Order: sequence, then structure tokens, then C-alpha cells
Amino acid sequence: MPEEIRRLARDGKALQPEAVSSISSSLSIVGKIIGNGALTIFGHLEGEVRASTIVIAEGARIEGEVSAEELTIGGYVKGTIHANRVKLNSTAVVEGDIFHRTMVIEGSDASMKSARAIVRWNRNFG
Amino acid sequence: MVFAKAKVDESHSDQVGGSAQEAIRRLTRDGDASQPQEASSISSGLSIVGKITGHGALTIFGHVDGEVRASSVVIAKGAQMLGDIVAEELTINGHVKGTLHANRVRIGGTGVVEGDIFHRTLAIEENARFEGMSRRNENAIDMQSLAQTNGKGNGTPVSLNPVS
Repeated sequence: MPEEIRRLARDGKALQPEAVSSISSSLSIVGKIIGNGALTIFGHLEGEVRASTIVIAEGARIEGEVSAEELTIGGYVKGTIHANRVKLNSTAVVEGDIFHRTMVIEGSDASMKSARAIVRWNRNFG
Repeated sequence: MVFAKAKVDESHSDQVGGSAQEAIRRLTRDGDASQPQEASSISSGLSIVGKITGHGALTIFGHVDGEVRASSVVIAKGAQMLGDIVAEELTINGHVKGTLHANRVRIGGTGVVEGDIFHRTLAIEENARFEGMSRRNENAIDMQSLAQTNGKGNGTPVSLNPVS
């Protein structure tokens, strides 16, 4: 049991909640999320989100603008993305423009359910 | 000294670790501890303007301006909340301005509530601040009471749309 807690704490999910935010899969937010620090989204968001590090987990759904220094996407995003470093996992689906300094698109699985990013701009805005 | 230290630890685990440990316990029981997705938390560096709805546990350390609905809500010490809260279980150690609907409400020693409370059970700790009306209701969070509350238009207005 203590090991479990330690692992969760290390993953930043449970015991360091002051520094790390997470929106569970059972939660929906309509509105604007703005702040510093790390944010992991498993649930649904309709609106703008801005934070230092954002992880949009597989199964998550964002409709709106996403701004971050570091952004990892495994879920669905519909909207404009601004981030210095963007990483699209193989499960990511992005509909919108991505403004970035560096971007990684992970290889897809056989089903080609891969990151479908429409990248129109590659702007260095650092 | 030893006693005092133990007391501090206890209150700390009650405010922060308590909910987290509870979430962990539940997740471990569900056999899905590797994906602790049921517990949400809004860190102190984060502000949300809008509506938060869902199930599961939610702990707020940051700022929320809008309506919150979840099964278990904890407004941690230092958190600022402006808007109505609907929850089965609600613990407040931070600052809340709005109408509260919850079966079990607990205002901790650092909690400040400005607004009315509709509850089944209510606990107010020493040094807590509560300014408003409290009304006991066997079904504090059923839909009817919610509709009535919304209809009357009391409580803080909630912005459903993202503020641009």
C-alpha cells in the first residue's frame, strides 16, 4: 500500500495535488482554464486551456484553444494549439492548426488511427 | 511537543492526504490503481472560469469562478471558489462564495463560507467562518431542490460560457 501511494505521488496524481492538476475522465469543464504548472486532462473540456505543461490523455476531448510550453496529446483536440514543444502520440487526433517550435508525431498503429494533424504553420515564437 | 506534532500531522492528512488516500483506496479496490482518473485536482496555480460537472472526487487548491458539480468536492486551504457547489460530500477549508448543496457538508477550521448551505448533515469546526443561511433537507441534492434554487435565482450567477 505505501508503495502504491509513493508511485501515485511520483506520477503526480494523488499526493502532490498542490503542484499538479488533473481533470478525471468523469469530469467535464465548460470554460477557461488558466495557470502555471502541470495539468493532465482525462476528461472533457470545452473552452480555452493555458498552462506550462499539459498532457491531454487518451480518451480526453478538448474543444478549444490550447496553449502550453510543453504539450503532449494522446486524445482528441479540436482547436488551435500554441506550444513550444508538441508531442502527438499515436492515439492523438488533432483538428486545427499547430503553432510550435518543435513537434514530434509518434508512429501510428496498423489501423492508421494515427495523429491526423493539419499543420499549416511552423512558427518559432520562442 | 510530541502530542502537538501528532495533531498537526493529523489535521494535515485530513485536509490534503485524506481525500487523496481515499481516492487511492477506492482505485486500489477497483483494481485500476495505475489509472487514477477518477480523482481530479485543480492545483493552486490554476484558475478555472466556467462550469465543472461530473462524478468522482474533485479537490480544488486554486481558483474557480463558476459552478461545480461532483460526487465529492474538497475546497482546500488557500483555494478560492466563487459560485455554487453541488456535491454528495463537501469539505471546505478554503474560501467559498456561493450556494452549497450537499448531503454532507463540513467546514474546516480554515474554511470561510459566504452563502447559503442546503445539507443533510452539517459540521462547522472551530474558527470556521460561515455567513449565510443553512437549511437541512433530507435530499439536499435532488434535482427538484436544484431546479428551485436555480429558478429563484439566488446564489452567485454562473457563467456557462468561456470568458473571452
